[in-house]
Amino acid sequence: MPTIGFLFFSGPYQSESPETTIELAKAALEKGVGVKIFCYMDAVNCVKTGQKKVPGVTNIEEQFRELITKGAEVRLCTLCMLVRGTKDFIEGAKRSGTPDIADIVEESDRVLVIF
Amino acid sequence: MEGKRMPKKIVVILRKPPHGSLFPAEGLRVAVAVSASETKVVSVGDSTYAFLKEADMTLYKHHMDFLKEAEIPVVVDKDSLEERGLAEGNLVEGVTIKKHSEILNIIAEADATLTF
Repeated sequence: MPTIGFLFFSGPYQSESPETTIELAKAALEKGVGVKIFCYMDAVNCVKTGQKKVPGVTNIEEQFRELITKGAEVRLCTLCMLVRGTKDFIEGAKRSGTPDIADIVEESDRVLVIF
Repeated sequence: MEGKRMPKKIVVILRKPPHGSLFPAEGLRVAVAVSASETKVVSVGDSTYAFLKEADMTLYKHHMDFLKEAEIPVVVDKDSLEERGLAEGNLVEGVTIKKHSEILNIIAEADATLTF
């Protein structure tokens, strides 16, 4: 299966980068392309649980849950979580480390970096 | 092993300054992490300040030492240096200075580019 990897840096609710990543990932999944996302630095906060639902604002937690349900692989930088105190995160996302970036690069046909 | 893919060529591109951002340190951390592949580090723009002799390398000195030990090249863009009034003599040992066109070739030959 063709696979696209994402090295994703942006935290939620400051720019539209999470929405861009989510929409690209959804489009890939709908076309039968595998998706592997590495959440790096502030991006680990995109999968925190308990994000408040605000009308008119994309709930990033829900969107990441949907991506995982649809088959996306979401890996989180553990050190980035530790320094941010990010403890509770959505089911299906996996704690990992920078060596996983090497795996994602090797396993993906293309890698996108999104800030 | 049958069916195993060839290791990819990876370029880690550093763009952001070492002051006011953690990106050069994180980029070098990732360069270490992917160093089992054919990896090169390229420094352009304000990231070139990360390799000044006077730079505080507390966060990434150990990564630099590893990259040197592993013979992973760290290449600094000559144009970026000159735009900032800097020259080879301002930089730490172990980094290589290359022209913009050579940097472009390194990027063009890569299978994956990871920007920081």
